Amino acid sequence: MKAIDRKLVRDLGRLKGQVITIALVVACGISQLVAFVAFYRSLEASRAAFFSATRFGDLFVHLDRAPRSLLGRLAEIPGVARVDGRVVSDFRLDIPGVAEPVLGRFISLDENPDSRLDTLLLKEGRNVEPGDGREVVVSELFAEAHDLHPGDSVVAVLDGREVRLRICGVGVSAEYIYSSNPRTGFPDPSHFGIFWMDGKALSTALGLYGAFDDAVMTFSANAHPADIVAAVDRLLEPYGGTGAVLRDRQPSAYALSAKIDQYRAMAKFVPLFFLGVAAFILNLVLSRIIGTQREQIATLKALGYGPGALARHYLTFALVICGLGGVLGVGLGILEGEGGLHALIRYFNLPVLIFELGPSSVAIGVLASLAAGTAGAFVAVRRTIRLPAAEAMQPEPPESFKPTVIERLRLDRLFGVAGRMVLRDVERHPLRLGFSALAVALGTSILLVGTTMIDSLNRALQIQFTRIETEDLNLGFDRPRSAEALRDLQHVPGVLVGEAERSVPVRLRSKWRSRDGSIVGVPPNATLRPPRDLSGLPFHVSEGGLTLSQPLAKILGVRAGDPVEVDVLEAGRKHLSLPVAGFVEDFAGLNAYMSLPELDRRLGEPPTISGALLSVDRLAFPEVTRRLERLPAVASFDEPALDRKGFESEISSSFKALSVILALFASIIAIGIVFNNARIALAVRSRDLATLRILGFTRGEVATVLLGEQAVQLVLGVALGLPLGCLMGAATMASIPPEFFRAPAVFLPSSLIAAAAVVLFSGFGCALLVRREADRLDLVEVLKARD
Amino acid sequence: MAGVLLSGRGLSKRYQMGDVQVVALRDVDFDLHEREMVVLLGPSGSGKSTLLNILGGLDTPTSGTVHYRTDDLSRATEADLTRYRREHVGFVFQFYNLIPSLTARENVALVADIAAHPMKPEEALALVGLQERLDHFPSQLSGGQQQRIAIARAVVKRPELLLCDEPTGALDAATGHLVLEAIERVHAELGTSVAIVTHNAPIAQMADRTVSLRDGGIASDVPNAQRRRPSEIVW
Repeated sequence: MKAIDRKLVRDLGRLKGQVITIALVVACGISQLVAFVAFYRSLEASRAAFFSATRFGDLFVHLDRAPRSLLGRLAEIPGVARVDGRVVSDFRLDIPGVAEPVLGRFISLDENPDSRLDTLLLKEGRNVEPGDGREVVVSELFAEAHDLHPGDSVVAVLDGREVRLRICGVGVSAEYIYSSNPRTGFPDPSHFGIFWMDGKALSTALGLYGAFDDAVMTFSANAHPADIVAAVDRLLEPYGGTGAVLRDRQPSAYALSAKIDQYRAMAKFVPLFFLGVAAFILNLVLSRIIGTQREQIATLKALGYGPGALARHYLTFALVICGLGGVLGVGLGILEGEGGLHALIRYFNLPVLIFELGPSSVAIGVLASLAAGTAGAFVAVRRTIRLPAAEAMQPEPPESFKPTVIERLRLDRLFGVAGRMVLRDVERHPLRLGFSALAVALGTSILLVGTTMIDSLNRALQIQFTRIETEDLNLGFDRPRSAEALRDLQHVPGVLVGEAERSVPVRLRSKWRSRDGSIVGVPPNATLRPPRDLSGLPFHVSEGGLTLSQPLAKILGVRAGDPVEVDVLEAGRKHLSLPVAGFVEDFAGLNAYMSLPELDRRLGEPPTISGALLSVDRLAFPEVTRRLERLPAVASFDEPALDRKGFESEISSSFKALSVILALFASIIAIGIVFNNARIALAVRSRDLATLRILGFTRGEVATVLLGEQAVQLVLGVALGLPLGCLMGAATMASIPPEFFRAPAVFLPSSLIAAAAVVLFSGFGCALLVRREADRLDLVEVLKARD
Repeated sequence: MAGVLLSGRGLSKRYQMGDVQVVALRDVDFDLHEREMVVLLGPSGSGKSTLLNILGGLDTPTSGTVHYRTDDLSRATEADLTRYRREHVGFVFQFYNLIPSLTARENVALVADIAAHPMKPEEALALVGLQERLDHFPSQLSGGQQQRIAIARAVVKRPELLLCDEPTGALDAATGHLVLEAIERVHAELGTSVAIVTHNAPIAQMADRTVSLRDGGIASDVPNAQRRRPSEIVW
């Protein structure tokens, strides 16, 4: 090894604290890049493999009933490759030990279950024996939630009759990898399960023998999906078809795509942010480290080392650090990617796990960090090697020093000598101060983005469950029923208040735009679930048309007064043209509101409801639920208080890990800045500091001089980082697709304090480590050395 | 007399130090001959180090010319000056300028690695009497020993020119003698031309010629009638 390379190795060893802290910052950036790219690539690959292995459909449609002979006509539609007709219906389940209502979706299996579209992927046991109406295959998440295995049994309430069903297998279907409880709209495997049973038995039980009420189909190559949708809808309209849904809008596939899209966007933005911060810190710190080697660079020049050799030497120094960070980052990213992916795969109930790293992105990320390091070193090296060697060997000339604002305002009298030295140092290097503070601010803001997301979701949940869903129970009927049904419920002993709930599934169209959703009928003087806007305030549902949630209005491209074409997707299948009467910023979903009497009038129906909201006497609660369960008209019921608990635990578990990671990153960034700046200040100023000690300054005063600038950087950085983080948090919340969820960004003082505390503690902690070194300065030795 | 190795004509140098302009050298003519040893004497700020830096290709004059044999250094590019230093010049500085992270042998190897026909680092260290301290780091050695490593580092490439800037400035008299003896030995055994900058007048007794500078100009240029060995010099 050449002597100059030995110098490199020893310099890296001597500066190991700095090398490690910078490499960690780089590692943060690279690990995020690797992990996020791995997330979305793996999800895409796993999804593709699963969909193709189970012959996932291209189009799904539900209807009231149609004879199986109609399947042949569906198959004749140009572009349709294959059609499977099924029977699909939801029933209540009686699960021992579970007080809350549990809903099961039953799907028919035909005689040859393995060749059908949407084949089940069995995880346990076997498929249903054809002809055996007592056997079911149960969805994996539901089986896990209730510890069900082949050989166990469940009781379903089929049309008021209790039927005991034996579980023969546990399986997963692509159609239900993300299965939301139809009552709540959120995944809830404890209270919603999928069951596959013999087609003949199920259709007989439902009175649908020789008929089907659900179909799935695949397309041939070169099919025109829009034409097929139109043809299917036309064909099924007389049979109560509720509108064909293409694969990309099928709820399970749609949720998966949306999540993958979100990760793809994050894979671009998040790592870029971290790499940007890392590059920034590298630039800052490397240029200062190289600046401290001014004299050595001059000596090497005097000895005949040319600019090329010197540049190579110091660039290698930077590249080793970045390379180290890159390797560490790739390792951490793979760990994070694999760990996170397992959680995501579980969340989606994806049975196929393919881990795809995306080597090109990793390579780009590593190269980007190397480039950032090179740029950081290059600026400093160029500045130093441009100096004539003779000049570089002299100590740097004293900087131009004029009385500053502080002196002119006579503020300097407020500070001791040590304080004045710090102030002048800070004033003399405004760029160094500014950039360092900015880096600390970025670190602080990273942390705040995470806490803002958590706080905002929590606040939204709080409003949802304390201001919007104020009922104790909500019931869903098996089909729309007359308003009489509500009166029956109001008479159940223990029910304090009962209000109507009406939701009509519709397809809304305006010119060429259309979207499926539902019209919510709001009863006059609703008290249990009055419609509320984003801030939790009740809003008025305008008479004379639809009140649309803003994102829906945007999708449809409509303004107040514009007509919206409405295709009703339930019995009757009316077509209406309703004007837009108003808009509202509400929380979730693509809702259209209308007053209930007006909705009934427009539909030409007598007062109709699809469910009921009840306020129940707490003491009578068990008795009320027991009685309600027995009512044949009640298909489902739901307790918002339990949902809230479920959501809160979901949020806290999925965001806890994120918060810890972000806090770690913020801490690494703060340490990267403060530790490096403090170490460099110590290296550059050890002679000054020793002189101060010799002149009688205490260790504390010397530490003030040494670390004062870092303290100012840190405090200024945090002060900048808090508003910056709030801005970025608000931007992050705004980037959530409004179709899913809309929540105003919330900034809690406790979260701001926590973010500031993490950064300040990390910064001051490592500053104290450097102070310990300053305390051990050998005064005589330092003074012996040259300026 | 042997041929001229280095020749400066009308050399001037002005520096900007912060807000102040410093005139370090005014219109100086200077020659250094092959195998000659010259001592440049003068108080602080007289311009002697500036002259030495220009002769060594560490700095360029603001005006005037300097030739190494037939090469015009005042018109050389940075790359030319680097090659000039690498091939022909050895430097010894007042504060040694050793690389603290390298051992004695490695500090010397730093130059041997890039020289065309170097001696072995061990040989160069033996020349200055440090063959026993090859694997010591600078921090483990005394000032005199560090300066002798710096001399070994300067001569390992067998330079034609050895430029020493206050080589004894940071040392006590006894240690200073050892360092001067090392320089003397290199001069005698390798035939290297030597220019020593010092403000310590007695050192001039070991030179062939003494050039005194004052206020950036040459005050006197006097050949020595009789050279003395370093051990005979008292200060």
